[in-house]
Amino acid sequence: MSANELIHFSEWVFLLYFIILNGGYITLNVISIVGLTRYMESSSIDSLPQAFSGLEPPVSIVVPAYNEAATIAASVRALIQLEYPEFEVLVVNDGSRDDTLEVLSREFSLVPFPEAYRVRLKTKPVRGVYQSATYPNLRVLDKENGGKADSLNAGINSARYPLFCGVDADSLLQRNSLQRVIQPFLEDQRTVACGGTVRVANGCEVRGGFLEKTGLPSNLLALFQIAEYLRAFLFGRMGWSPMNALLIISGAFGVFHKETVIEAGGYRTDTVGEDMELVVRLHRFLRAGGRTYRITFVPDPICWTEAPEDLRTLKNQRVRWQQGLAESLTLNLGLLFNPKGGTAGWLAFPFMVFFELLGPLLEVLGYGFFILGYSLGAVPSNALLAFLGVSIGLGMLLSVSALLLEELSFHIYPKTRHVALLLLAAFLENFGYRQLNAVWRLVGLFRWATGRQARWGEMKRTATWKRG
Amino acid sequence: MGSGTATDPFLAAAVWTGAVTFALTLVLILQIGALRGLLILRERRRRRFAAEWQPFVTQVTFEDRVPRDLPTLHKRDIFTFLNYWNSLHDSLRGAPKEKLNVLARRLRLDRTVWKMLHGSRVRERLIAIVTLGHLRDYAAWDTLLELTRSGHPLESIVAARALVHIDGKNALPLLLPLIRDRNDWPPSKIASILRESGPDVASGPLIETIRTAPPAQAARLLRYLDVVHTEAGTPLVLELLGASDSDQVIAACLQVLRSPAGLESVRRHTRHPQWFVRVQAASALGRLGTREDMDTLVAMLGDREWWVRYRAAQALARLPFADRRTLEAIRDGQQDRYARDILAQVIAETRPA
Repeated sequence: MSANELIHFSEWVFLLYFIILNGGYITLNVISIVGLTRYMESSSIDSLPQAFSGLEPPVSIVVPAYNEAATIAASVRALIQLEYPEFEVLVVNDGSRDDTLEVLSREFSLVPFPEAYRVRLKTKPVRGVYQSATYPNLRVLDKENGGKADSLNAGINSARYPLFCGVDADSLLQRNSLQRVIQPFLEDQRTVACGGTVRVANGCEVRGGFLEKTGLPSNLLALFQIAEYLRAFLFGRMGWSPMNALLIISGAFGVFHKETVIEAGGYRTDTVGEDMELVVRLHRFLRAGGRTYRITFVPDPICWTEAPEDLRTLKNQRVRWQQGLAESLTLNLGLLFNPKGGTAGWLAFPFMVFFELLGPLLEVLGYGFFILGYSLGAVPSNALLAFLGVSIGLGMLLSVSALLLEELSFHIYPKTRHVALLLLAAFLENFGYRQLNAVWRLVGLFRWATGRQARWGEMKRTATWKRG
Repeated sequence: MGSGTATDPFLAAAVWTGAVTFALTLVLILQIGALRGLLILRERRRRRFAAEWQPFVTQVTFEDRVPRDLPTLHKRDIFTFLNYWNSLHDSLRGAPKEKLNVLARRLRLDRTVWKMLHGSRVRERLIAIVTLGHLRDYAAWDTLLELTRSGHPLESIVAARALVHIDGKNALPLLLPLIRDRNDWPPSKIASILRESGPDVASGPLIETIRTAPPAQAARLLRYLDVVHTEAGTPLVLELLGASDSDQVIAACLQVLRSPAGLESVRRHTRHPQWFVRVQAASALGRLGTREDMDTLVAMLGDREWWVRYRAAQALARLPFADRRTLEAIRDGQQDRYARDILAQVIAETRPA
């Protein structure tokens, strides 16, 4: 093959890759539009009062906490006020080095509680259990540091109810979040796990731990992330859910059938992507056992989280996410093209491998090839422009279609100028931000491939929303 | 080198893809703009509707009669009106509900919802079904009954509820076979339907359905006896406790048993090989047990299953003569560490120091 042919061949490879990748997303988009429209139509009836409640299953909310002294009291207070018939809150203090336990003890009048703690999942030792004297449905487990997954497993051990909900300590929920995310369990008893949409809280007004008013951040990075989250949730997950091929439920907020998770072995403690790894493993475990099940998703915006506003924190997050993705997939390779794998094993898993896991490699190589090739005179300017037109154009199309889904459904940003700003962000993010993300994800992939340990790191919290 | 001329297939593919992409993006942006415009218009209409109609409708429910002159209800406000009307209906009792129905008929909404019922939009069909139920429109009976058998879980259960609103006594015998057989109706929604029917209406048909149902369905239906708070089911429960060979049915019977007449049966089942039956037996002893059952419950504190130990400890704590001192004495007398631990937990839960 001559150099010219090789270059021409490479041009086609990169172009086709972008077209196929984005074609896949567009297909998910179309599925999401249908699903979301049906969901919104059906949800209209739920706005009527007494839209059937009673016999809802009780839920254990498990909150891992590490060095959260500054915010844990407000978070727990908000959780206690959730509107749901019966639930308990289990805060797992994961060997915090700050005053997390002291703050909890003071704010909630904790007293030692002689819990008959069952070790169904192995964890680091639990040093003590405390019950709130003022809120009988609040308990705190104090344990040796073992990481988030270890804390979740300890919470599962202590949970009394058939469903547990893993919540990040800094997640902001809505009063009806639990009601909303439990619905699939009521409607279909095969449901073993359900997640909801996570939105970006930056720029919003928060009072008493609940979101009072939505708004947009002034920080450009946070603005880009809003568009990203809309893409990821409104069609990324909404697209896979109807096919029972959803491979990730966000660790920020997700509900699981406790016994099924225990049967599957609980959360793995040797991965930073413990949330995704559990869901992929549930698919593998249940399909291998020939069991009928459903892992699903509610598109309602029920959980809000602070997005990083500086490049360093964002980079660490994206590197970690890619490592987590790689770990989750490779630890469950048995699902890939498994005869019993169904849509999870034959569609979603390969999609994740070829587009999400290896995608950054091809993206960065593609941009690198065309730009370097052009600068060396090997690639003509029209080819470079054509490639950039396609790659950037497809990216914009996906971002704008996510905004369309948002307008078709929840339109939570009330002002028209918000929509205009988000459209601008959807446009601008394709000129540098997405490419930078691809580079970070490639770093994450490289670190995983070379066996480097992923780190959680510290997030610089700016709390740009107003705290009450 | 590489792609060169404008006729190059690579360039052509890239240019066409780019062009289509940009065109689609533009279409989507225009669509977003249109949706936002519609949203603004809808919001303005909703505010106007709220300012004009909500005070009027609320006032109607307090007046002696519906006023002769009514404001104009525009076609585009019908859905919003019905939403508000139905939510008000659900929160009122007695005569005001009748006045809402008179108002709806005066506005000819009884005919409008018939058209909506046969329309293509799911949300309009749902609101039409709910409205017909509140209007107690007997003419809709056959259509609603047909809908309860449809494959759409939400439409079918909303139709079921509407039938109960129209005529619970005649609806329930028709709905109970569906409640028995359908797995896509959430238990919480079935419970609401039965609760709304009331124990007098629901008990008889429910008991009959349980009696003739296969064991798996019977076990599921037995739990609804608690929802309708009926003692009329006690004879059936006692009969099944003695005669059924289904562990699920026995467990369900123990769960809903409220009569001391079943105490002997409960005691017998504390030694059942299945742990979920022993769990219910322990709970039942907590409700119905006497002093002589304390030893049985204390023995169950050492069961190999955590949930049996926990329910046994809770049952002990429920017994009226078991004060904190008594429970602590039992705890301190246990050789089994698991028994001691579980009772310590329950004492802390139920008898805080």
